[in-house]
Amino acid sequence: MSARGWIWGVWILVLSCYVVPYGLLGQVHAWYGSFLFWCVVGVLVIVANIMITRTFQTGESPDAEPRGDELPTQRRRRR
Amino acid sequence: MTTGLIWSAVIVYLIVGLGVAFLSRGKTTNGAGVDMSGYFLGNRQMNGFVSALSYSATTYSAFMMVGLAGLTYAGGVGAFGFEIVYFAGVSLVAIFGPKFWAVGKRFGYVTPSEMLGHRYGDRKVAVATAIASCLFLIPYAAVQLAGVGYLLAGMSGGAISFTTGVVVSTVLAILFSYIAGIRSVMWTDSLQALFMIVASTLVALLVVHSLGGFAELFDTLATEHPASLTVPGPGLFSFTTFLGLTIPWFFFSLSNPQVSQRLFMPASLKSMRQMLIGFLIFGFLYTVVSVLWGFSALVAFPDLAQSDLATPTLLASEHVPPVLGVIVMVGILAAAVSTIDSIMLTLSSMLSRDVYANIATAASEATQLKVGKWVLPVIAILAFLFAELQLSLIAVLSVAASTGLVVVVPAIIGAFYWKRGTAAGALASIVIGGLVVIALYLSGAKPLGLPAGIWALPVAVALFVIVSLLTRPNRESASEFMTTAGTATSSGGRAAAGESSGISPDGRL
Repeated sequence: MSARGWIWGVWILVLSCYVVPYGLLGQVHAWYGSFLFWCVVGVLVIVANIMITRTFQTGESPDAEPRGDELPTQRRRRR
Repeated sequence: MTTGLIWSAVIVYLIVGLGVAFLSRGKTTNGAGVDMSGYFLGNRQMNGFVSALSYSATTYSAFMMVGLAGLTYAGGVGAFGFEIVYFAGVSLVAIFGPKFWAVGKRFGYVTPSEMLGHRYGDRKVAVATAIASCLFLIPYAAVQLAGVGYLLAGMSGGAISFTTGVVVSTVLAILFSYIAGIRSVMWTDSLQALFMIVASTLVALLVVHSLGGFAELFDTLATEHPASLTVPGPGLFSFTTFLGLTIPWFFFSLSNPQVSQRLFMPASLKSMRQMLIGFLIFGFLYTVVSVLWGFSALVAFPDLAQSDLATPTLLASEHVPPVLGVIVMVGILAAAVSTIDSIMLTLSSMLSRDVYANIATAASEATQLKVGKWVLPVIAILAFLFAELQLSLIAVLSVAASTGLVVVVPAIIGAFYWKRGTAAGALASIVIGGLVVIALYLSGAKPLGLPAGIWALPVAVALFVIVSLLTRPNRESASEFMTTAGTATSSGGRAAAGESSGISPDGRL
């Protein structure tokens, strides 16, 4: 699944955080009710973020070399 | 728990924290040529591991182990759901983080408000965002200070006064942020984050064990407090209240500058990914632990007069050995201080960069930095005075601050996705939207029966869209900004950061 697909997955998870506990689990007075549901959502959010960010480039940014502490733009920005 | 034991722990924490803060000093934050980017952003060279721990310590504060545990005590499992919705909202970092990072590299932004001012081509947007942030974040910082006051007073049985606790945390926050700017904040944050998670998890396991284990804890809850395992539960989390609490917090990672400023800092996108995933793992554990504390307190002490006392009472009880209790107390103190110092540092960078430098247009970076350092303790004193008002329900006040800040969200999202957005639209949404939130909280009004937390975002969106459509956009700055943001993940930011146009925000403002 693409990053876009996983992002949609997060939105669906968020929506379910409202619908499921207030609807389906409203009468389940036990640990396997809303508590477990929100636990599972939390874990799935972590998984989704791992997948969304897997395309992030691994290299250092081009201007990461030891330097005089300034970017080219910053040198021009004395006020 | 004896007062001597509490003070000994605080002094050890102070010495270790100050040692780490001094060791973190480097030429980028304390050398002769230090500039705004060096002091407030660590020269955009922060690594992923430290960033993850610091992001965690900044985000999670006294609110979690005092406020969230208290909310769980009072309202049941709905408190967990509220925090999980916030947690899911941090996914916005995966979407917006690379964009912030790319435009920050290219245009040299130091603050999120500076970014908005440049994107919309109007310095008034930067000024308004900075002032709104101060208006809402100083009370938020005060809430953290009050959390420490309650904690120390509660655990010492009143031997250490509320005011003493507030003074201690204020002084620590000033020292940790002043010594080396963001570097001392991030390194002390990292130490504090590790301390927070290890100590709080140990206590949770110990308390749950002494109450008979997980199965026994939840069986007791199901038998004696069945409503606490469902929503709306005992009544605190009606659906509209839940919605009003969760909407502002869902956007916390964008609306709160002390965390959105962190998106400018990672050395690479790989570091940003490590920061995000590291934070999510930390955050999930910490949330579960805090909720378990609240449930444990409900089982052990079902008749507390005030829900905010759930954690101090639990820590001072026979379920927690005094030495471990005092270690966690220091962990909570660390959680509060690590949030306050980041807020102070961010606000001082905004006031010097976006307010002072836009008034004194000839001010050099060195002068801006000097002003920023002077502003730091002033913000701390304001937060201290606010905390002294001793407003009671910590969590609700904290959320009120987030409600106020959510009015900045339409302008931030519009900056990256809506070329037609204008400076007037951004200003209207931030200024009028902020005033609407303040008016709703002051009057206690609930139009159509809905709380301010639900109204803030739609009001701000409507203002941003309508006013933008009625005014003329700055297409040139919008186009360059959005093109730069769009290169973020496709090329690892190389196009954005490597092909600087030389156009700085100041060239436009």
